[in-house]
Amino acid sequence: MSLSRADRQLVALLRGYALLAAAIVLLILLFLVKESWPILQHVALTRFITDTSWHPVQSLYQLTPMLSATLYSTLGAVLLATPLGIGSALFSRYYAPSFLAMVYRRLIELLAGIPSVVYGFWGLTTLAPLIGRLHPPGVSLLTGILILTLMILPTVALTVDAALSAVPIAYVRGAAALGLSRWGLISGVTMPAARSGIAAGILLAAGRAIGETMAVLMVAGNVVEQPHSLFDSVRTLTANIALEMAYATGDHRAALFVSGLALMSMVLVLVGLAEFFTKERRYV
Amino acid sequence: MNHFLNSTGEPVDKTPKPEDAYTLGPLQAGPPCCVPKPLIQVDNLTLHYGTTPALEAVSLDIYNGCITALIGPSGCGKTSFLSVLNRLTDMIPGCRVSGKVIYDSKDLRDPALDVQGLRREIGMIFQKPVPFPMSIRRNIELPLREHGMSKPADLNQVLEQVLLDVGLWDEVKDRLESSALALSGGQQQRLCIARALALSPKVLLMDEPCSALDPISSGVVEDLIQRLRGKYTVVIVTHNLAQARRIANYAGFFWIKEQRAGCLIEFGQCKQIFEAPVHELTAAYVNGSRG
Amino acid sequence: MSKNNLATVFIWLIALLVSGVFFWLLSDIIVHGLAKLSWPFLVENPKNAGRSGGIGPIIVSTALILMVAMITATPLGLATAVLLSEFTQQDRVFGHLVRRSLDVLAGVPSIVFGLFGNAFFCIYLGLGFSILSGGLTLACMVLPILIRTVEEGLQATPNEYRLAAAALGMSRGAALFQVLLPAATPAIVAGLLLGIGRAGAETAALIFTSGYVDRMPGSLFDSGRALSVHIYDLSMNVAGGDASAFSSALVLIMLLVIINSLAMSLAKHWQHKSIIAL
Repeated sequence: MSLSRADRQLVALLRGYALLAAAIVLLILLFLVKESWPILQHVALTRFITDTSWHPVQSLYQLTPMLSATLYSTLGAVLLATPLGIGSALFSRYYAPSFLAMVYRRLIELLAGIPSVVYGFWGLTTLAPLIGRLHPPGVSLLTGILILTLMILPTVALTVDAALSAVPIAYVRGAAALGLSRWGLISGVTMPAARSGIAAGILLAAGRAIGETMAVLMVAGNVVEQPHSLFDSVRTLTANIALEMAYATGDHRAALFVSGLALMSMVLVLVGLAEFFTKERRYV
Repeated sequence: MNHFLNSTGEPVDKTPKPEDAYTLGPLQAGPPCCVPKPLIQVDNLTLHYGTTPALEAVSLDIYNGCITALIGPSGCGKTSFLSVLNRLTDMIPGCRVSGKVIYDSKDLRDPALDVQGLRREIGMIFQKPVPFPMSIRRNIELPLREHGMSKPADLNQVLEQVLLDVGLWDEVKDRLESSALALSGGQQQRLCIARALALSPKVLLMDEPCSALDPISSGVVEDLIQRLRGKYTVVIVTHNLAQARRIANYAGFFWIKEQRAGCLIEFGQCKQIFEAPVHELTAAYVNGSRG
Repeated sequence: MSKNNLATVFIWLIALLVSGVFFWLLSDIIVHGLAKLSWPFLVENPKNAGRSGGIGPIIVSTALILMVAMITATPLGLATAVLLSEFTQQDRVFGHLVRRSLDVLAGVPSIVFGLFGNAFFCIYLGLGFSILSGGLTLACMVLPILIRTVEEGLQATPNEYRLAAAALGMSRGAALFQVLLPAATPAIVAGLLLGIGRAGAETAALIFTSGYVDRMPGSLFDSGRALSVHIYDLSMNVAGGDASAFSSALVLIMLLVIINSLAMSLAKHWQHKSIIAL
C-alpha cells in the first residue's frame, strides 16, 4: 500500500482521534470501577443480594428489590412491545394502503424521538391517575411497564421493519406464486427469513428498557420494596441511582456506582447478543 | 506544446467550423509510428487477488505513440493488466503482483517510486464515465490544482485547450459552472478524457471506454481516440473486435487458462493478428467461432 | 374466520391501538401545552420556582450545552468515521478494536453516563456542575451515532470516485477533502442533526453534570438547567408546576421534531442522490 507522505501524516492524525474516541468507553469503565472500589474493599459482592434491605445509612446494601423491579418492568415491557412492534411493522409494510403506511411510519419515527422525560411526565399526569382509580396508588409497576412499552415500541417496530425489508424479494415472489395467503406468506416465509433481525430488535429494545431512567422514575412510585403485585410501587435500579446520587456520600455513593456497573453489564450482554444475531449495528 | 501546427510545421487554423459540430477539434495527428520503440516493457507479469490467480506470466511491449488493443473475452485479466500499469492495483486489498514492468527505463513496481507523479504521466479512463459531482470547470481544474497549477489564467488556458481537443468546447463553453453530472454519457466520457489530457500524460489507459455509451457517442469517442495516436500512447481494452481492427496498431489477445487465470495467447501488429494469426485460438476468436 | 382474516383484523387492531395511544399522548401535550405557550414564555425568566414566568434562561442553557456537545463530538466523530471508512486496510486490528469499543459505548445507559460525567468531568477534572460538564458528557453519548451516520455516508459514495481520483494522481487526502467528503455532506449534516436530537432529549446524564440552576448562565462554567431537566423538576419537585411543564414539553417536542425531520429528509436525499448520480 503506497501512501504519500502527506497521506501518512493524515492517517497518523486520524488514528490519534480514533484512539481518543475508542478510549472513552475504557475511561467510563475505569471510573466506574474507581468509584466502586471503596465499598468493594470491605463489602463482598454477595452482600448486594443477601443483605436484608437497602439502607445504606445502616450499611445494608441489598439491591434485590430494585433488581426485581428492573427485571419485571423490562420483561413486562418486552412482552407487550414485541407483538405491538412487530404488528406495527407488518402493518406499515404489508397491510396498510401506501399513504396510511407512510403516515404510520412517520408517526413511529416521531415517537422514537420523544424524550423519556416527556413520556414520564405524561404517564405521571394522565396514566397514573387512571390506574390509580383502578387500584391505588396510580404510580406502580404496571404504569412503569405500560410507559416502558410505549417507549421501546418504536425501537422494535423500526428494527423489525428494517429486517423485513432485507428479506430478498425473490422469496416473497416465489411464495406468492405458490398461492399462499398474505398471512401465510408472512408467517411462513417472511418472518422466519427475518428472524435474526427481529431477535436483534427485541434484544435492543430490552437493553433500552433496562437502561431507562427518567420515565420509570416518574411513574413507578419509587418505593424500595420487592414487588408482589402489578399495582405495587417499585423502584428500579436506574431510578435508585438518579434519586440518591444527589445526597449520597462515601460508601453509599460507591454502592450506587456498583449498581451502575451491574446495569452496564446487563445492557452490554443484551447488546452483545443482539449483535451476535445481526452483523448490522444499529444505534437507536 | 503547440497544438496548431500541421506535420510540416506550418500553423493551421483549427477553430471548429459550424459544420464540424459533431466532429472533433484540433488535435494534431502527429507523425506516423513507423519505427516505434517500446515505452512500457512487461516481463512475466503475474497477478493474484488473495489466493486466486488472475494473470499468469504475461509479457508484452507497449510501443510509443501507438494504439495497442487488448482483446479477449471477459474475465481474462485485461482490466487487471491495465491496473498494474498505473499502480492502481495498490488500492485493491489483497492484490499481489510479481514480474517486471519497465516504464521509460524506470522500474514501475519500485515501492519507492513517486506513484502520484507516475499517474500524472499514465492516465486512465474507466468503462463507466466517472465525472466528479461538481461543475465541469472544477472537474478539470481539480487535478491541475492538486499537481501545483494555481494561476487562473493558466488553468483557463488548459481548460479551453483540452475541451477543444475532445470536441466538447462548443457544447459546454456556456455552462462550465453547471454540474458535470447533467451531461450525457458520451459527453461525460469525453470530459473524463479531457480531464486526463489536462495533465499532459504520455500514456492513456482505456478500459472499454465506449461500452457504456450509445452508438453515436461511441463513434465520437472512437474518433477522438484515433486522433490521439502519435501524440499519446494508448492502451485500450475492448470487446469490440471491429473497433480494435479499426483503430489499433498492435493487438494482444488474452484468454483464460484452466485454473481461471488469464494469460496472453498472442501479441503482434494488428493487421497480423486479425488476418494471419499464428495461434489457432486467436484465429477462432477473431473469426467469431470461440469466445 | 380463516387464519388469514383473523391476522388481518389483529394487525389493524394493533395499528389502531398504537396510533390511538400515541395520538392521545400527543394531543394531551399539545392541548395542555398551548395554554401557556407564548413569546413571553419563551424569553422570560422562571418565577416562583417555575410555576410562572418563562423558560428563557433554560432555552439558553440547553442551546449552550448542545453547542458544547456538538463542537466537541464533531471533529472526533468525523476523524474516526473517516478512518473507519477509508483507511482500515492499513490496520484491520485497530479498526476492529475501535469499532468494538464504539459498539459498547452505544449501549451504555444514560444514567451511567451521568455517573461517569459526574465522577470524571465534575470531580476529577474539577469542572463542577457546569454547562461544560454536561456538554462534554453528552458529546460522549452522541459520538457513536455521529460516527455511524458519517461512516455510512462515506461508504455510500461510489468507489469509482476513489479510483478515478487516484488515477489522476491525487493523494488519498486530496480525494477525501475535495471529492468524497463534499459528496457525503448531506449524510454528515444528517448525522449531526441526529446527534443534536439525541442529546436534546437527554435528561439523566445531565442531572448530575450540568445541574439544576435555572438562572441565565454567565459562562460555560456556570451550572445550567436543560429543558428536559426543567420538565423533570417541574413535574416531580414543584407542586403546581404541571402547567409550565406541559408547555416546556411542547417546546421540547417541537424542537426535536423539526431537527429529526430535517435529519431524516437529508438522509433520504443523499440516499436518492447517490443512486441516481452516475
